Amino acid sequence: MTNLTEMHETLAAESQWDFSDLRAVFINCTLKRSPEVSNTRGLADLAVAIMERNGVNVEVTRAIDHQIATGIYPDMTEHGWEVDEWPAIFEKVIGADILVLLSPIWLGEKSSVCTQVIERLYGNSHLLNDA
Amino acid sequence: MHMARMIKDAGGIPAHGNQKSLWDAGCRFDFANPDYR
Repeated sequence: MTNLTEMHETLAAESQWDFSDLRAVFINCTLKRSPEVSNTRGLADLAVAIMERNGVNVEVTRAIDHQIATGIYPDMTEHGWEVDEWPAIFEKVIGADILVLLSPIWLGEKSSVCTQVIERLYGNSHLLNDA
Repeated sequence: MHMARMIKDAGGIPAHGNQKSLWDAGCRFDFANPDYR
């Protein structure tokens, strides 16, 4: 776990806010599969540590380690794909209060994995109509 | 974190502008205005 700076510790200790019932999901859109080191995750670890120090329940998912199908429907196994792990990931997203997308930047662009995750998020947006 | 706290305490983000019932009722730009028929 990343060590917090003295400033972060002080801010958390003096905070009047209660974040203990909040859930945060981080989706790491690195292009590197586990167990290769993700520098994107390394940068995000500080944000994760700050949230955890403030009582937020944090979960980090590494998208590229999952077989996320391409498409714009909530479950692509209903549209010809043999495997689609997106529905399980989306269950975590919809149950969270905070969603953080992590992406490396290469040639000024977010990663292809991040683009795909955003596409899948939009593919589920209609589920929130009339919510 | 703070925004998430405030949104959660307010009952979430309202679905205003995203409701099928209002869409069907004519709350959209291409709905014929009954005042000018």
